[in-house]
Parts: sequence; structure tokens; C-alpha cells
Amino acid sequence: MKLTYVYCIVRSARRPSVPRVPPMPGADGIRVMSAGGGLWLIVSDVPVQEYGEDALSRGLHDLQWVGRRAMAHEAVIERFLKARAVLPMKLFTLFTSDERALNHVKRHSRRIERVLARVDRQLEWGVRLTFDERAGKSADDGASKARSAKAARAETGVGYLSRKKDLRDHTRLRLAQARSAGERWYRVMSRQATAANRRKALEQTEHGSRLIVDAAFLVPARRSTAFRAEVRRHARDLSAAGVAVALTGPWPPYNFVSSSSGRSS
Amino acid sequence: MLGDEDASLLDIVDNVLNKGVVITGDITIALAQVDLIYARLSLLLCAADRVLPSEDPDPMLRRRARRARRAPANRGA
Repeated sequence: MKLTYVYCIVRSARRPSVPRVPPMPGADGIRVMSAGGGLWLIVSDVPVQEYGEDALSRGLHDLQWVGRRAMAHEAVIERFLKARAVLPMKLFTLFTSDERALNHVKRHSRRIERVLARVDRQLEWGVRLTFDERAGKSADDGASKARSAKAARAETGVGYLSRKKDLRDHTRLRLAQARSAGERWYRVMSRQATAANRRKALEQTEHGSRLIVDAAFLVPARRSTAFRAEVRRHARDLSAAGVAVALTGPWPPYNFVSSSSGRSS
Repeated sequence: MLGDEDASLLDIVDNVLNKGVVITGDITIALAQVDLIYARLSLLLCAADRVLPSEDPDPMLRRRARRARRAPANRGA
């Protein structure tokens, strides 16, 4: 028995072509189904043995199993980034038939239209800012090396502790400055986006490196190049504060399609 | 994917499992199982030098996450 696996909903004036990427593991292929009104469902037939509730229960315990399917799901959706709008489905959105899938979309059509309007001709970009404590230190290495070479032989225990404390205070100051720079950056970039979204970044990523901003931006597709150039321009200023900038994208608008997200900044 | 940094598998899994449009299909995934994936994801991310904000209040998972952070990374999954 086959189930209908739904990857995404696409808004397009013309029928989109079948993407030339592998479908979900175990699927026969990828189909494009008309939902009317310029909406299309991108689907696959998948066997119930691999995607029924029992199979999913087992599979969800295995990160490799999930990972493979997450990649396949994402790869299909990404083929529609150039469409007018694409709504990514959550992984494992499954129906017992095509008809049930279409009926469900019809029942939720008002909500779907609202979300489609929000992401119309937009792309999502992800940016992470990290402060590297060691990068902050190395900027002063020259001066501190000279100081410590001079003081090395004459240093007392108190001198040593005092120097260590100065270093810690200095790092804390650098971190505070990096955080301020990150906040300012986020405010500036948010104003240039249709919408912006932040995750609370409280955790330390690795020893010596701290995630200070974890953000997603919804940007008109026609402004992609300009937006990326802006991010790179700011990256140069931020690196002086020991802040590294990592840009990813374009993404399907995952951060702007749930009912609680997509608020403009 | 274009970008200055390759989006990791973990970013993708986070997106497709946790975000995306919710349409209640005919097959439902038990919430507990998704939470399990998240717990394991958090540990993996700690080891892989990035951390998802953890909403899990379970103290044992937090202890294991702290230990994973100190342990050498094993990027295999």
C-alpha cells in the first residue's frame, strides 16, 4: 500500500517541472499535483512499510535514518526556491491518498494563502555571529608579549594573578563589546529585511567561541545579492571586534511559515 | 546551498523536523519521538561545536550534554 508523501506547496503561474533530484528513500519518484489557483503539491508515493506509523516510530530512534530523509526532503524543496513562493512541509507529512492531501490543503486554504503572501518572492538567509575569545586576545598579542617578556623574570605570585585577572577582565570587556556590536548589527540588518527572527543564543559553542547572534532573515529575492553584500560589508567591521560572521542560504522560509513566526522586526 | 559556510546536516534536520508548515496528515508522529530526536541532536551539536538552545528540563540530559561538550567531537552521524 502506498502513502502520499508531501514535500512542499508551491505557488507558480505555470506547472513546475519535476525536480531532477532523488526522491525520499523508498519512493517511486516525484510528482507535481495541481491544487488549483496556481498552487501545486510536490509529492511522492512511498510504501507504508517504510513510512507508516510503525516504521516511523522505529526510524525516529535512528539519527542516520532521519538524517538521510531530512536531506532528501530538503533537496526536493530547494529545487523550488526560484518559484514565486514555496511552503516547506514538516518532515513526514503523509496522507493515505492524493485526494486526502488535496482536501486537507483546501480545508486550510485561508491559512496557506496567508503564509504564501508573507513569503511571496522572498528568500530566507541565516546568519550566525560568533565571538572568538582567542581572536580577541591575539589582536593584543604584540603588546602583551612585550610586556610579559619584560616582566617574566621579575614576576611574583601576586603579579601573576594580577596579570591573569587583567586578561580575564579584558576578555570580558571584549565579549561585552562584541555583544553590543552584534545587537547593533542585528537591528541594522533587520531594517533591511522583510522580517527577521532570532534564536536566544546563550550557549557557548566550543571552548573559546561564543554564539552571540543566531538569526534568520526574510529578504525579497530580487535583493539577494545586495543583502549578501551588506552582510559581507558588516563582517569586515565585526571582525575587528573579534566577531566571525557565517552566512547560509538561500533557504526555504522555514523560520517564517509557522503561525507564531514571521513577525516583521 | 550557497553560502560562506556549508549548512550542516543538523541545521537541515532542525528545520525540517521542527519548522515547516504544519498540516496534520494521516500519519502522526508521536511528540515523544521527536523530542527524543531533539535530545540526541542536542548532544550531537554540543560535540560538533554548536548548541541548540535546549528546552528540555531533564537534568540528566543536561548533565550528559555538559559531559559531551568536554569530550572530543565525533562527527559521524
